Amino acid sequence: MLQDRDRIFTNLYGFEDWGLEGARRRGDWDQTAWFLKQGRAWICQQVKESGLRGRGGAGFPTGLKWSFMPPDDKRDGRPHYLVVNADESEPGTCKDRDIMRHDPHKLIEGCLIAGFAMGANAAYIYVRGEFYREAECLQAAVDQAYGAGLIGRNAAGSGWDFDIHVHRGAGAYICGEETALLESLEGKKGQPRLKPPFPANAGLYGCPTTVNNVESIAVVPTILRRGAAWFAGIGRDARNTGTKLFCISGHVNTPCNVEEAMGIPFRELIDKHAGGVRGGWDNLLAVIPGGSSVPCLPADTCQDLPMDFDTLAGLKSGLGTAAVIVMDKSTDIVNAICRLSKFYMHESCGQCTPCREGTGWMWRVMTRLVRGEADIGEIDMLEEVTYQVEGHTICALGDAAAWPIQGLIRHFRPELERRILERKVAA
Amino acid sequence: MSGPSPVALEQPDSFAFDGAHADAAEKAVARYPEGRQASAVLPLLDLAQRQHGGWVPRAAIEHIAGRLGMAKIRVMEVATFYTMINLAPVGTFHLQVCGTTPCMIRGAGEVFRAIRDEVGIGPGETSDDGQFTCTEVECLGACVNAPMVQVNDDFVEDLSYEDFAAVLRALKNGDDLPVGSLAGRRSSEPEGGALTLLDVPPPVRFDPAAVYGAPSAVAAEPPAAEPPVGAARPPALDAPRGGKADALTGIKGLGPKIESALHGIGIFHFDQVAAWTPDQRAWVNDALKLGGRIERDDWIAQAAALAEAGEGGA
Repeated sequence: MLQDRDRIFTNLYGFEDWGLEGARRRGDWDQTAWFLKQGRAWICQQVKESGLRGRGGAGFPTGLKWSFMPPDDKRDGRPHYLVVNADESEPGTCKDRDIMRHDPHKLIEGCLIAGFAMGANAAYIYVRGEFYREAECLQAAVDQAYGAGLIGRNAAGSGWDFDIHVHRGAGAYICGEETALLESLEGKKGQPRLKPPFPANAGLYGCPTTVNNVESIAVVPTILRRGAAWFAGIGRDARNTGTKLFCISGHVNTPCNVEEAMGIPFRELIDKHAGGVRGGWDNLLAVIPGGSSVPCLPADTCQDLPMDFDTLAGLKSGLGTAAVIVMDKSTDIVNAICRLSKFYMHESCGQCTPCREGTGWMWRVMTRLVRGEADIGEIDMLEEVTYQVEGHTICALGDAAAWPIQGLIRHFRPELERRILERKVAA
Repeated sequence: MSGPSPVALEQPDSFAFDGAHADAAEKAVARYPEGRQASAVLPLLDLAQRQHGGWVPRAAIEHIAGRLGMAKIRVMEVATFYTMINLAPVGTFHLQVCGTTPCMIRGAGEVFRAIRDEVGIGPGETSDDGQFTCTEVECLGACVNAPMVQVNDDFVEDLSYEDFAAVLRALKNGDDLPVGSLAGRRSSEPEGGALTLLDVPPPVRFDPAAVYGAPSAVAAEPPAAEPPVGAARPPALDAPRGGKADALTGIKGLGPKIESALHGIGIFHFDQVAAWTPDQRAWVNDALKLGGRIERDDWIAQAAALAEAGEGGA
């Protein structure tokens, strides 16, 4: 188990002061300018060496992503932007909320360092609209940072000018997709853009932009302070490094957020931090290991399962946002997945036909499968349709709608068939 | 897609931001670069809704359009896209019940039952006295405190039927809304008390020399880029299959120089490129000093398309 001394978010639960004084006591804003003096390439290199992969779900190497921004000798006069994705909406996920309300200065300091590393003089933090109190707290922390000269002109005495703006959304899951977020930030409907061009070429206002998750940015100051080797030394292997905020929800005795080592075995995570599965380990039915978009896994695969990107991808699931949704044997698994289908139907932006039509179609079939009102052959038809939606849309929402159903059919097909047959016998 | 937004039939004739809202609107517009004022449309819609008692009238949409130099329909388009913008009145207390799976499996149904029993309304309904509107919303991002309800700006969490029924009775009596966990939790720590962060040592003051060696060494040029930790070399071929390599220059952004470098690391075919994982892309990017062009020009999609089309004699 990770020791407290290796935890980054030491005020995760908000028992201490979230403000600047408390943050300084926790080691934030300690010689920030020194990192900026080492230069853009140096910062990117440290982050690459740490092995940090994006904490928003896709797991793309963060330092590499930053290095896509035009270097200083290739600038063409357009401003560069850092955009922080705080549109936390993936069902099961509630970690960025804690960073914003309890440790906002880690995010703000991270913005300065990351922004400098990509040559940006401004950052927009896009906070989901429902997080009104969290945005309030973050704004108050930004104001504190301006007041103390840590951001603004000559930020933290680094010679670099850096502004941070907090921008609230207004209720749309799709705005967590990076190009939809940029559209929304420009004052439009949140409908994803075709790529290329990628945001590093043409992002916010057509300028070079990098969009990063809150947690990815907020861990950077600590990584630099303790050294990339420290971060890279935590975790199961060199491709799955560092600490990670896990959100454990559903049928555990004590749901919670906790920062743990990447790759912690599933059962250890649940037993040590969340009081175990409700009704005991043998009562476990299935787990959604990384937020609603990733396929569920049945209980028998879970015991020693290392919770990291590559292991879970190897099982045709994913670490996603590390939002672990636990379901015990009392769960109507078909209905649980059906509710996710309804979610994706509701959140489809309507731009691409396979998603706009497919999410509704899949949900309607799922509602019948919950009751067993279907023919056996429709299970195959549903699966076939999920593969028609997957990969045929501009953004990954179509994929995200398809995967939970694919996971259900892959692992719980006998349950789907049982309901259909029982209904037929009863009729 | 979410359904059409209900729009109020009775509308005020005019709208303008008043005192505090006008100041806030001005500040909001100033956050965006000159010429990009449309970015302020969501903040202004939110302010208009707050000023107008929980919904945005048509006159406010027109006012905001004029203020930001947008066509009215563009503002309407935004207002109907986002679920938090109401175009018709809602109750004094807007009960937004999370119904998504993490809340559902922890008893969101009990919360709906409490609302039905205490206020007599279901999702999509407003009580006759205009005090309460109930809406089923999608995941609100408080899943470890499920089930939960957002009441206006605040989250009420860790709910049971009895607890939320009591909250509703309190609101009816004019009492304050209890905010946060009703199970005695501070926030997202496990119920019964935190199990971590109990023994956090004071932070070590950052000493560049201790972490990064002598200052002079650090000020020097960064070392030549090594492949990053986590990067992986993609599978290589000793020679092209059938003795004939694909014309990799068919990929936009990939010239003869890079093609020969790719041959040098055993990459000869579109299907090889198309199969690169993110980490392999990282490795190639660093090894060949591509400056991110694999992602920028989306080689993977290009290569996949070319491989499928059978270009280059594969």
